[in-house]
Amino acid sequence: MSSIRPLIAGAVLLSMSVPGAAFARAAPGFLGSPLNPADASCFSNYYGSARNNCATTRSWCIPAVVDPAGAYTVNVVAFAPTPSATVGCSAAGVNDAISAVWASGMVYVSSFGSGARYITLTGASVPGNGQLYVCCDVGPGAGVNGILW
Amino acid sequence: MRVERIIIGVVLVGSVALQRLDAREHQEALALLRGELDRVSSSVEQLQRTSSTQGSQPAAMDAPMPRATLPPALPSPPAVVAPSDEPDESPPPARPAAAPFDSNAARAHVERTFEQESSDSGWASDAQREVRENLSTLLPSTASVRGLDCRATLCRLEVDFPLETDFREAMGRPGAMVRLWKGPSLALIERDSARGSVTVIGYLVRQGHPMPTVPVSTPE
Repeated sequence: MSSIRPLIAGAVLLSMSVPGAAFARAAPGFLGSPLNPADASCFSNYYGSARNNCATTRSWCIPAVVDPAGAYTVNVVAFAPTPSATVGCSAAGVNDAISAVWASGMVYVSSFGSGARYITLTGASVPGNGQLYVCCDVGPGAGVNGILW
Repeated sequence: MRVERIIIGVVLVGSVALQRLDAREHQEALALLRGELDRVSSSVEQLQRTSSTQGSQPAAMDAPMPRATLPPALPSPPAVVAPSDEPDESPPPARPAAAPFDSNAARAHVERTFEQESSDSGWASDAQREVRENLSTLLPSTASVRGLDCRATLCRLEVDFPLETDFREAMGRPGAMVRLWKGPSLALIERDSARGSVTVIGYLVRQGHPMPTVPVSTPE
């Protein structure tokens, strides 16, 4: 019976030493700003999520801090409860002079509900000294909870 | 010299004190962990004893299995109002933050891929029609389309804006390219300071296809 103890201890230690797979960075949705400054009053901060309270779709953009140049995959965590309250996003990487823009396509949530919905964006590459950002079309009542990359 | 000795002494004493504090915190955490581990071990042993006893008494197999005594749960933080009442989607698997990227090589590769690509006449004509329709609503009347050519998975678009302000109005905002094309894209923005004009060369990727990337050479 005493042989079970080392096994349990090993399992506990192993579970403590192997961290869960996670994205390198995450940012809350409300870190961003409306594409059109006049739409600022449409968005509210719900636990860090940017929610569109207006009756029509508005655009919301979030910067994504990057360290090395590279081809990035950005995941948007969206709040899209119904087909009329949907979210579609695209990510873009630009060079330092903003003379080259590497953009993902526009991707919408593939299902609806009050739980987290994920949008995976590929194709946004960031040249050296460049920047990365995400812009989303946020339907009425929908929101952007955050981004992962 | 004396002041230096005093400073060194203070630094040494301080660092020793900090280390002792740190060690004490570690010991406390370890003691907690040991306690938890012992409780889990005894629970598992009790569970095993129960199951082995039942195994020797087949007649008692229908009796409900007694539950192992679990250690008391630690006090949980105050609950926050759950913002959702439906299950979340599974998050996508984490990937390496960024794949290596050489901007000039990548740009040249996209241009070369387009030049070498054969034509898929069905998709090419549909794509050109879609781009022209979107351009008609996106571009000001002063802008001119110098070229639009689609192949099998890529289109090349060249638009000239005589004035910087026209360019900014039409394409100078984030998300402008996705108004024009729903798939991935590469936009190259060239300014002619003498003329004051802006030329945009866009490579539009067929939806469902990735942006062409430079193949990574593996060492032999």
